[in-house]
Amino acid sequence: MSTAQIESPLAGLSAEQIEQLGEEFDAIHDEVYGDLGERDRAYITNIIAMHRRIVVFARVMMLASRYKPAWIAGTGSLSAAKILENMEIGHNVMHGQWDWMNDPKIHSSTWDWDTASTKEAWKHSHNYIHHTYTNIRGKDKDLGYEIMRIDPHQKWHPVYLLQPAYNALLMLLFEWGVAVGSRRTTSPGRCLAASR
Amino acid sequence: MEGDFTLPDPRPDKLLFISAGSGITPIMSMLRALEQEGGMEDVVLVHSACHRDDVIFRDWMEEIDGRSDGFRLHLQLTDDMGRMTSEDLEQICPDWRDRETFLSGPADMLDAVEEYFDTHGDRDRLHMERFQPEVGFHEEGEGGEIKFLVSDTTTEADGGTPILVAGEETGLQLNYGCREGICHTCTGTLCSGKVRDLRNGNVYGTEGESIRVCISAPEGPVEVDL
Repeated sequence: MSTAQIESPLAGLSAEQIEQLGEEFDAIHDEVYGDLGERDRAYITNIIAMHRRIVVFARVMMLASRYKPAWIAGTGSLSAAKILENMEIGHNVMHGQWDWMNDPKIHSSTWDWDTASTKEAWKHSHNYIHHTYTNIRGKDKDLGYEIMRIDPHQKWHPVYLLQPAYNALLMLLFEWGVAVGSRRTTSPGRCLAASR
Repeated sequence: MEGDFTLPDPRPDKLLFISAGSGITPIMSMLRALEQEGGMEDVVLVHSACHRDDVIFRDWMEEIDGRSDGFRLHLQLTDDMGRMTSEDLEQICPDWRDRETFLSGPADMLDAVEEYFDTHGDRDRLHMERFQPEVGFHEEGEGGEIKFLVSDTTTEADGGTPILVAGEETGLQLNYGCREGICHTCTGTLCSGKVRDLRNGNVYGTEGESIRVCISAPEGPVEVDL
């Protein structure tokens, strides 16, 4: 087996280049932040409203799911709604992406979602662990969700040959995968203090 | 960023660790891992400190040295013995060229050893840790009084102290995660006053704005909804 270490893409940069990269990121932040406004507020409120409508539509359709077209339309649109809620709304709002609006409802500290993982557990495992220790093996559980090998530093094992199969299974059960992966396992001192 | 200063997998047969002062800490993690795996087959640790009493983890090192045949410890106590030189290295560990070497310590030591490996050995077998410079936290503002509205607590903080730390020092249990502005776990609402972002020195703040208290110092009196 090769003992070669795969270098971080940042390893070849000098201190000055990293500093410059940081400045470029800051410039992007300032540009985006300076541009935020009514257009963005309209976007997120429209997406949330659209999500709610799709959910109602899907549930009503599913009442008639003994008819195949209604079953397909119901499950299809509920799936779309779940994805919207998870990826575009819940993820971003709970990240604090919309906190700038100072809207008490669309805010990382108050937002909740209809997903298996609780908002506290997700914010801990995602915002804190995943984004502070991104892709660090043994620390960031998003690196393969503890069942897949997606980084060359992870030790190979024959079971990974089945990875495409159980990745498909994970896709189907994704919210449960996230919920299990968000179980809190860090020491109490580094956890959220008891939420008030 | 993922650390590159880690033991390769599979483990090399022969290892040399060179450290000084608190540079021992990352090396200590590697030694502990090796010890747990039972992989102390041929390991040399050369550690420098001013005085015996300054050696961090000394008890552990000496215990392993006594217990394990595959581990050899050399303490360079610089008050008496002076700083380690290349001749010392040749004497302590003549087969250093055959080993994977891990180096951690102050910058001038890293430079000296790196140069020696460059000219007399194989630079590719030398792995080193340069301590990262402290990020931010250099630009100090005026500080001020902090009122934690929910906790009903008031305290003072100087311009270099994050609101989170000031709160903890008065005994509050505030939410936190990364403590460096990434994760938003510590977010609270600013009810009045201005804060300074300790990462870049920017002063900002409007009533009702969300702030991360781990990277914000008060700039004059502030009230937060925590």
